[in-house]
Amino acid sequence: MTTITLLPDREDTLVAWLTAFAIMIHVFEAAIPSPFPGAKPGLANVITIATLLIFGWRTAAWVSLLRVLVASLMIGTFLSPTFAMSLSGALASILILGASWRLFGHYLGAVGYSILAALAHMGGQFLLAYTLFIPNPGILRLLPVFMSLALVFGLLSGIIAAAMIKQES
Amino acid sequence: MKTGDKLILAVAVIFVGWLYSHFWTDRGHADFARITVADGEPQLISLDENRLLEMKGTSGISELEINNGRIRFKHSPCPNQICVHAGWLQHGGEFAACLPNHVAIEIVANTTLFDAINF
Repeated sequence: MTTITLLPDREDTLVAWLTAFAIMIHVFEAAIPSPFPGAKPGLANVITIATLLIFGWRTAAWVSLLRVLVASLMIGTFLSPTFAMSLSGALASILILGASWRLFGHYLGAVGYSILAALAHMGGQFLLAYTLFIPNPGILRLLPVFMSLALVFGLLSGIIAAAMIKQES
Repeated sequence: MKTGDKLILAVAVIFVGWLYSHFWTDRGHADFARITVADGEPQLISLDENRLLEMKGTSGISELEINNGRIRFKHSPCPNQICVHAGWLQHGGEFAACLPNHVAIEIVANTTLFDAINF
């Protein structure tokens, strides 16, 4: 009988630790009622942004997507509409982060990346909601309000991430 | 905050502002009403000017009122008054008709309320 042993390398351990932090924030946030139905501060993105700036985009993508997957398993929303919304947001924001990381690199700091990620996150969710769940132009009337919230929360997360990695904010 | 961050913040604020101006301004506002009487050609009537129109149908005169970019049947010589109860029409695609009097009005605008209507 052959035994297959998978040895986690340094990056695996790193991703696991960072994801664990992000999951903790995500689950904690899911337990707190939000004053705006459907909008959460998305503080777990602080981890994604900090990871991006310290370890690069690849690690940040792993952390972000694994966080959405595992947190949904823990909250019990796996494969539900909530999960689809969460995943589409995470995908959109990680794609935007990848593109802007290639384009701007270290010309941008935590705040800039965080704002981009937050707006993309909300945009991705709206795209999914509009195409899949509520294909009614009326829902687009909510877009400005939710984008404003995304901007504010993105700015806040960015400042927190900057403080966390001791970058001047 | 780096210069790039400030730039992104500024662009984001402008973007959100643009979203408000784009999605929160009512662009479904109607410009014209298409009025069809009996077998006649449909005529386009501008809704800019407030006024009363009298359309001579097959069983009497239907009185149409235009007010503030809206139009309605004010009086109509029909028994059920369905056209009058349809109330004000103001969005593209909205429709009201007085069948006994053969008068129909439809709002014509750039954006329509419905993609298609099936009777």
